[in-house]
Amino acid sequence: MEVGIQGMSSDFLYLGWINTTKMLEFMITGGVCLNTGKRYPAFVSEKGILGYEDFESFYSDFIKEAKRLVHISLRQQDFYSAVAERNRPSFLLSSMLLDCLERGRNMHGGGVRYHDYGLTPLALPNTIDSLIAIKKAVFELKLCTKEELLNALKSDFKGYEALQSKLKALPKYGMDNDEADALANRVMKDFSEMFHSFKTVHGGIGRPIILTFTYGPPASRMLGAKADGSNAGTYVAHGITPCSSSMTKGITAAVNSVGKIDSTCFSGGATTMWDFDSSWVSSDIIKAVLKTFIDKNGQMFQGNTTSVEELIKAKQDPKNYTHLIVRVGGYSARFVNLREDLQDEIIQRMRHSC
Amino acid sequence: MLKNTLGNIFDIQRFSVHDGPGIRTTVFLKGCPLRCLWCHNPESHKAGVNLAYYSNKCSLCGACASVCPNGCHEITDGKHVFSRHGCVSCGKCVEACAFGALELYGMRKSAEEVFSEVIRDKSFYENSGGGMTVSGGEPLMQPDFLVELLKKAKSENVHTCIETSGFAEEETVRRVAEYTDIFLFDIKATDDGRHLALTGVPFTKIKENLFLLDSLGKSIVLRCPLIPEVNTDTAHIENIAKIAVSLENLLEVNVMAYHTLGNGKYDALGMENKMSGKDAMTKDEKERYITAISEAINRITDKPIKVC
Repeated sequence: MEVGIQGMSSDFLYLGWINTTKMLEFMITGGVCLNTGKRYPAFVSEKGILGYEDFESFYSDFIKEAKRLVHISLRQQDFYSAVAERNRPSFLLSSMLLDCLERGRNMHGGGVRYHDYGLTPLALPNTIDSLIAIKKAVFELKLCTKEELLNALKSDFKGYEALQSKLKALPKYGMDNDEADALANRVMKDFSEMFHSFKTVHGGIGRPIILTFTYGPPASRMLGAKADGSNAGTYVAHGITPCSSSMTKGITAAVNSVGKIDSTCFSGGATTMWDFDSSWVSSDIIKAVLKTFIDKNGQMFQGNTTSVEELIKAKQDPKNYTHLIVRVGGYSARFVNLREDLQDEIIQRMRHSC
Repeated sequence: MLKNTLGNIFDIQRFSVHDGPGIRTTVFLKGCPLRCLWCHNPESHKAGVNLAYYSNKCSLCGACASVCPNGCHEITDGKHVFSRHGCVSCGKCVEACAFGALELYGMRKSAEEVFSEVIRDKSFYENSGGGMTVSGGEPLMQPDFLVELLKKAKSENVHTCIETSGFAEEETVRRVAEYTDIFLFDIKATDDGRHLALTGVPFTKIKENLFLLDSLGKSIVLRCPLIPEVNTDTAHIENIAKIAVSLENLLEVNVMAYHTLGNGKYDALGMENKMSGKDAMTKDEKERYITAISEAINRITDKPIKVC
């Protein structure tokens, strides 16, 4: 994660996250938040899905708007760089980084060879599944009209249960479905290109870092109902791991889907999270899955084998479960010391079964 | 023989870790000549297509009633009534149901189509010593389709297992054995009369096929479903041990503990569950039977035979 070139980078390799599924929500509603009903001023497109007759135009405008927002986030770092150059010159550290001494500038002021900024486009798998759903349900199979979809999302599917079921049954990223995975690849490439096309003030680029870390709960709370059939507040996926509810064909299919993504576009690194049901898992099986994951160009593989039953007991009786360590995402921690919303997120994660 | 023979299957299950070594994909063939009283895959019995109606998922929306050509579905007095005798398994209601309350078991697919899904997990098989397992129902009931599927696997260097009751003609067993690495062979009862009462077929032919496979040098795993108060008598345990010891190519003996996970399917398919009300075997009970078989084996021989 936060992949930097050793000895030649600034330390702006990790800046935070931007919620891609929320961007898609605004694209569908014309900039209105499904949870508050308020217009979000930074999202300029007001058309909403009602203003589009075909998927390609909708998608292309979505990518344009997302790129604009990503560039704004990255541009913020140019300002931070200027402030850091003045207030945090880090002379000793700068003297050890190429090419600060040669250029006579400190590490934040254009001294380093690679002045890159890292940022996370969060919840890409959720965004992908919703885009697949919009493409197929609205424009191809005509399972619903644009108006019906918008109203279903606004009411969090209340009164639209049949439509919700149909949306849930559509192909998703994570089922080893070639059509869905091709769109997933396209979306990830398009998002990565947003980063690589940005020039930082000192000539570096943006780097997409695909992780979820501890941002799952707050990011999930932000979201209204989604076109893939999931209700408001449903948890976002971990890194480039498919959404829990999309991994309906088992872990081999899910790993195959991840393996079809061209991982070279993730210049900042990409993580995955695989949680196994402790009742049957063995190190031989995990070894085989891990080796296959690596063979398919997987980058980062993390997960849990702790039993869900134990985690639930630990929540109720923390004093007796201080020994339980879990993988949160990017780090491990004692389960009983975690914030409650993180505990809940870990408990509800899909446990792969055989 | 047609190059692309069609077969009746009811499931292709990926990431199977209990149906042979390593990570496997299990193809379930439809149709079975046995009627074991404890079967947890009742949807596998008939070779054709059958419709299942899961009342617990029904939302009473009536979408099925509006598309059924034979009026099999009726929503009256807040109840969904399904009249199975008029059903021709056309599948229109399955498509119409948005809640998954209706399911059609059974598809007709070519060996090529089935194998194209199996081969997707080739890397997993290679990295785990896994492969393809064909189960069912009884896979030996569709020998042409089965042989073609196995041949395709072998041409791609995929390891093959067959889960079978062993009830088939000798010719079929010989044909299939040529392309099979391991046989997961069921032993349900070892007394002919008892076998007939519990499964509907005698044990003789099954026993002959078992020893035929052994003589052909085929690796065998004995799969012993044990159902308390039905086939857990001492005589059967002793016979399992005797058979295990007399096989040259036995890999191990597996105890298949009776479980109740298939019960919901009986209702959904309008079939009678002969084991209704029976509790699943506990972990402790299973361990006791494993020990009993091990001890029976040790009384006959010093040869180490794995029982698990």
